[in-house]
Amino acid sequence: MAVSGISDGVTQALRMAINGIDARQQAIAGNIANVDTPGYLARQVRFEDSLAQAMADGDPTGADVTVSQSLAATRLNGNNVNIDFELLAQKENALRQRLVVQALNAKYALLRTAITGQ
Amino acid sequence: MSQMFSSFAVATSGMGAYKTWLNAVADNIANMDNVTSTDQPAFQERFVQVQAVDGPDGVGDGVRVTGVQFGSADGIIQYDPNHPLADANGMVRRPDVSLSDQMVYMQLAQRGYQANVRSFETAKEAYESILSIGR
Repeated sequence: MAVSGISDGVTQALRMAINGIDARQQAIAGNIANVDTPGYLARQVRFEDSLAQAMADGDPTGADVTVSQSLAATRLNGNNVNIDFELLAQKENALRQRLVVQALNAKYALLRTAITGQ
Repeated sequence: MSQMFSSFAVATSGMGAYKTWLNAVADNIANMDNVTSTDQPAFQERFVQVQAVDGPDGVGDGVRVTGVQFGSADGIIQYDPNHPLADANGMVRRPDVSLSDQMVYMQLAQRGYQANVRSFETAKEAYESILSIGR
């Protein structure tokens, strides 16, 4: 891991978080698009545990994004997408993303202050 | 890493699939009273077939319309001796399309379409926030 003033562990971790959140957003959009597709199993994206572990190990870029299929009970057509859950998760995910973006912006504002001295 | 703005494509694929379903339902309702003579096939109900699209990274790339399946061409034989198409026994053939089924499908398709529009809007908000990085 290259520790420079511009890209440190915090910005790297935030970038990995955005990666994971982006993948989750696409997975949720896919689940909603397939809410009536026979035999479709909802997809779930996980990255938080892996990112926490990677940060504890000192290299946030080692974090993985894993996609798994939901084990929830299926309906008669073999589909287990829960639309309420997906819409809620989508909103929550968008808020999380804004949080991370704000953290990233705060970090950059700090850098800008350091660079320009203003 | 996933393609840029890919959630738009996923939500759009959902909208497209539900719109196709809505079209099929509208067609079924438009043709539900087509009367034919008993030696002709009846109008066949349209069923839209879809399939999930697997993305390269396992996240999924939305949904795809794979084709249309047709219901029974036998229809329902009815006694209607005054009808010009009636056969020697006074029978005609009508499509076996249930209006109540179609209404339920129409609601499902409409709500599914709306859910995908919502999904698109949420994706837009998220991408707008991404585009504000460093601003």
